[in-house]
Amino acid sequence: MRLTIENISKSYGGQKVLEDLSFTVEEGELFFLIGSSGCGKSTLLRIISGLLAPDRGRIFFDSRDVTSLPAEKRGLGLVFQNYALWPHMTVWENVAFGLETRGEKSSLIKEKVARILGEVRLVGLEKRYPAELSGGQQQRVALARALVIEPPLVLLDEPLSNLDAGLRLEMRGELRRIHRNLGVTMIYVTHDQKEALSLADRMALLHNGKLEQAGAPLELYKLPRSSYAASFLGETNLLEGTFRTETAEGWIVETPWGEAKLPSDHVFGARENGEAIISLRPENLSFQGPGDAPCFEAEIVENNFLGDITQLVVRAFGRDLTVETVSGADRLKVGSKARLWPKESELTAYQRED
Amino acid sequence: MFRNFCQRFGTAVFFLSVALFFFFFLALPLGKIILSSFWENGDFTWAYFLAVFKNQGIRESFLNSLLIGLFVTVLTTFLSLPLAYFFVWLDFPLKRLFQGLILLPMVMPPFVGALGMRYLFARCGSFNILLSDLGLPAVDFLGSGGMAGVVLLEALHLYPIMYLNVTASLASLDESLIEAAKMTGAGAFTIWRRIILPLFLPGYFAGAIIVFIWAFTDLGTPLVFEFRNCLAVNVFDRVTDIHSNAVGYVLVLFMLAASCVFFLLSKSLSKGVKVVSTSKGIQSSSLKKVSPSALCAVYAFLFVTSFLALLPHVSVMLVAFSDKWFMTVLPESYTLRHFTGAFTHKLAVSGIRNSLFLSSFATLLDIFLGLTIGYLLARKKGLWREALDVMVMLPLAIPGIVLAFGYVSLFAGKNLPLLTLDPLKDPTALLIICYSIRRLPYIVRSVYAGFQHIGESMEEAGRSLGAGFSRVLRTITLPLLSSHILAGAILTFAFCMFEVGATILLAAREWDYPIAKTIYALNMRLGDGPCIASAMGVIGMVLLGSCLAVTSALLGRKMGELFRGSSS
Repeated sequence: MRLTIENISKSYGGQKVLEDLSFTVEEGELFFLIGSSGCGKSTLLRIISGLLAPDRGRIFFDSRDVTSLPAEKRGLGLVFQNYALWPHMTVWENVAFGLETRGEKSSLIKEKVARILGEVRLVGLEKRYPAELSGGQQQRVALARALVIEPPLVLLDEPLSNLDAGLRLEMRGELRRIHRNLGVTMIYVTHDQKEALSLADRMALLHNGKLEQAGAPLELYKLPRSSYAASFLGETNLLEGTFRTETAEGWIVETPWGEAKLPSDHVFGARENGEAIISLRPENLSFQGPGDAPCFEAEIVENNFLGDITQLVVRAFGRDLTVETVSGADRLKVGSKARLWPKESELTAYQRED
Repeated sequence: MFRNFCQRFGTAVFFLSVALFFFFFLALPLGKIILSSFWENGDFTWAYFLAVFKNQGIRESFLNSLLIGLFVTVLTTFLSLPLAYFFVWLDFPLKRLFQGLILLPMVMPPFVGALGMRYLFARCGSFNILLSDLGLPAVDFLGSGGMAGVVLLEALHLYPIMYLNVTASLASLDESLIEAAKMTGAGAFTIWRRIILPLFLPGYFAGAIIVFIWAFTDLGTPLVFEFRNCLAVNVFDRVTDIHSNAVGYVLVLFMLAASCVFFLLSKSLSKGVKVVSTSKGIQSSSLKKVSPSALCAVYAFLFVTSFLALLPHVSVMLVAFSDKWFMTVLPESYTLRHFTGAFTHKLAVSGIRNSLFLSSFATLLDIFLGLTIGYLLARKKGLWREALDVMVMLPLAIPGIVLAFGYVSLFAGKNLPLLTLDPLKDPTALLIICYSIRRLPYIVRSVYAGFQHIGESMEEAGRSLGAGFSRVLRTITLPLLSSHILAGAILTFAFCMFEVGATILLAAREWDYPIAKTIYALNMRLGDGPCIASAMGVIGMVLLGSCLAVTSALLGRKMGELFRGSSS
């Protein structure tokens, strides 16, 4: 099923939570809604689920307008952040509930519940109560309960946020597998950018209730359309600069280390001689480069060996920059000076807002 | 090593002393009641049992008591369910004011309210005079010889307890649990039947059993209304010939058995919902705004409930301040004379003094026992833990009047070398013990909840910084617990002040009377008696009200924990 969000707005007591949001989720996609807490992503999810009504705007399932359809008639699956498992029902009863309310035959219920419990790997725990399960197991029950009714769209509200780091990684893999096996459309809300980048087919970044950018993870990472998007997804160094002129090959931008030429599609909201913010990702700074390429000198302030990569903090242009490099090259001593080559083709630049 | 041994030894000694205490003052009296019901001169006999069973009057009184219990439970349910719904799920103006107002009936025991209500509802009471002034026929408000009055007054006093239980139960019902059901396509009815009710009922039954046993065994209210055909009054009437007539024992046994059966029933019904810890409860943002027409209905219900609930209070005050009140709707003139009386009358002064003394001691005993038992239950493991838990919670199922009857039968005419236990000589010790045993479950629960709330890690944090056991106790645990202890203590004190059943049974000589029995005795006297009794009731009301206000300020929203019926 294809989901279309059209000009959705929502306010709580005069406070705008969502403002004129529009986007589309394609059939079978694993779509992510990301943003910092309070950006409105959970509110949007509740509006899609039908538990909350928007002030303005419409929602379509394929071409059907469902804006005024109540939650219980939408037939979606929702996985709550706190799982919301019914404490007085066993795992089996929790999962079977949705099928029972639909009046399915008991033989069919048995078959479907058994199948979905197999899918989420909970076989053998059917008779347990939620309080007798670990966090990861509760999570799986919540997932099974949402999936068993075979909804055309499953909504997941920060489903992994209550799990510890190791379990979160494991469940990430599980979710990907389940999504692939069932081919169901999923919308997944999280503030964890790593979760989003690693799982999403496409994603939408929300900021203060507005859509900041939507697209594939790589697109959002490589070409963030705003300095907020650049700093929210992955780490980046935001530097001050000035837009000069636009040429056939792109924009000439004054950077702290001199003029650089940026492809036109890497530049957003540029004005001639306008102030710019330049995003330079830590992995786009290297300690080696061709002699004629622009470079600058910096002092090593911190050296954090992280295994495969080393993260450094260097001081240049009167501020600290983060650098990431593959470990194993010469150890850079704290306090020493080093030359750094920025990869100019990977820079993005934005109009600075005053 | 040595320290460990000391602690274990200390625990064992304490456990044994508590066990002995319970053996002497709970198990033995109850055992005596059972024995005396079936044994005569060492021979087993059904004679008393059959005699009681064949006696139609007694059968009726048993039925009446059951009916009172059931009616009161049903009535409190109907009163408290809408209230709980309003206060947990709706948002409307003046909510806080009403929230306080509907808890007010707890400040006055119903037998005191009954003093005033008689003036309003009796055959020649205010309402009937009003009706006849309007040319309408008189109504028998108190119905069936007073049963309706008893039920009404007890229900008006007890519905806050039901309300607190029901509210706690509703408030812990996470909204997402309902939303999750909605998402699967469940309709409102299915959600009620399969999600809300099963999660709600345990808390409800826990409250219902407190209300039921209270109403089923209440002695004060039927006495004041002179509704003598119920079990409690029958038991009371037979205390005097306790050693010559075994019928009293059988009656008490009936009462005990019925209480236990209902208690166990409610236990099994309220068993077992374990709430998953991630649950957030009802969020204030999810409170429903109320439409104007619904608001009218809410206010109408709240006004009627508050009016009814405050009527006994107002009526007692009217009597207490009335100078002359005879065959008129309201008193003809008012006076402070009865309050002077309440502070100078010999019986009244000694009543207040006795009650203060008894309640203070019972409270101190309960704080000591409650703290230690609460600590052991919350922090120690062992086979004895279960036994201790069961033992301490047992008094919940045992009516005060049953316990008192057992005491009279066991200790009357007997003396221990150091302690006077003969209630005919000096009921002080027995009253203190009876009060403290009856209130112990509540204070243990309060302390236990406090310990759970603090969590062991805070104590461990103290210990990791080098503080010893007593230092941790002094600087971390007790300060954090203080509000729970204090709240439990104040409530214990307040309820001891107005314990009726055991008090009326145990205090035999006038100068030993605590307030409850003084009020009862004064009420029986001709002339000013009822007015002075009412004045004492007003004084008690103010006292109890201030106790509850302080407690609720200390505990805030956790007030309900103290009245919850389910075991920890």
